[in-house]
Amino acid sequence: MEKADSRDLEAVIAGCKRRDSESFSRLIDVYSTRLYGFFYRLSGDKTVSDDLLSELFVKLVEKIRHYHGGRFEAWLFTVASNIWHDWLRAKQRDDKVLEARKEELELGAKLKRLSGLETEVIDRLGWELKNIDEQSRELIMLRYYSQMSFKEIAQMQGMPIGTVLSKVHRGLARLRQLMEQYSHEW
Amino acid sequence: MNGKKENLKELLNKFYAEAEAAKAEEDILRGEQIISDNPSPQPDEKLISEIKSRISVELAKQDRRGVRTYLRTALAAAAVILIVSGLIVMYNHKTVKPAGSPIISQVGIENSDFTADDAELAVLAADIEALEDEILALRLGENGTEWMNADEIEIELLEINEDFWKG
Repeated sequence: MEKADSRDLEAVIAGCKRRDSESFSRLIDVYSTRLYGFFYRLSGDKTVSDDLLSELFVKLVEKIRHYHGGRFEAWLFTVASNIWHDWLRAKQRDDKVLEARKEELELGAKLKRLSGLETEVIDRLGWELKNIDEQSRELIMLRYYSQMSFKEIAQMQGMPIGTVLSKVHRGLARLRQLMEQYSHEW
Repeated sequence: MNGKKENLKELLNKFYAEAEAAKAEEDILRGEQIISDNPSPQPDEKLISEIKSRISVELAKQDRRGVRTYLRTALAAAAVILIVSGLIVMYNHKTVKPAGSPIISQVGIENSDFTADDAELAVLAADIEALEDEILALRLGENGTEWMNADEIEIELLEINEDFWKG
């Protein structure tokens, strides 16, 4: 992952606003790994993460002019979070259709393989993250990948800081317990 | 990934008792360490190249769209200017009167139907017409009643005429 100091970043963002292709290229180099990790840890699926990362950067071409200062990571991960929620909603609709179809055709096992998240588990952490509720998982990943403070996350999500703190704490404590349990078992 | 600018201990102390805060801090730091120890896969180089190409295409597409919008706007503005200029020229041409022309439009007077517009005027016109008939009858000696002579009728006619112009 490339890093950019704040002055570099300002220049890159200004370039993106001027619709300079090179600046977009640099922005991708700086943020693609963190954003990919965010999408991957939420979806547990490489293909989905590929699609969401592409969608995010293509949307940025249009959306970057709406960034008017403030912490760029907070803004960028808000866009990423919105894209994730849009995808989740679309998936829930698709799942309903798949469910109806599954009952209709009685091909449950085959369709479950096609439905994505339930079956594709690449690593242990990804597997255990599925045992943590969706909202806590997103808050944990936002904190980890965007490097935002609890206060910034609370503002971004429109939640009281105590709630964010408690959800992240409980989620991470559960994750720790699950991962350590797994290590002892093996 | 430890770029968070906050004092976690201080923050936790606001929400938890001292012992709980220490435990919570440990859980959070240990949990985040587990995430660091299990990194997610990286995006493929191929994916990154594809995204960059898609963005170049998107930028070019939007630039073309921008030029087209600019041209369309410029053409529309030019058309509006031409139409407005034409209308101004036409309006000025119509309003400039040749010297010596009548002040009141002839067309307006010729086309006016006063009887239709004013009921009183119609009554007066009918009276005048009746008096004219009577004068004519007297002159021709057709009217046998002779209750009003020609001069009296003429005076009444003049009075009616005066009333009419008074409004």
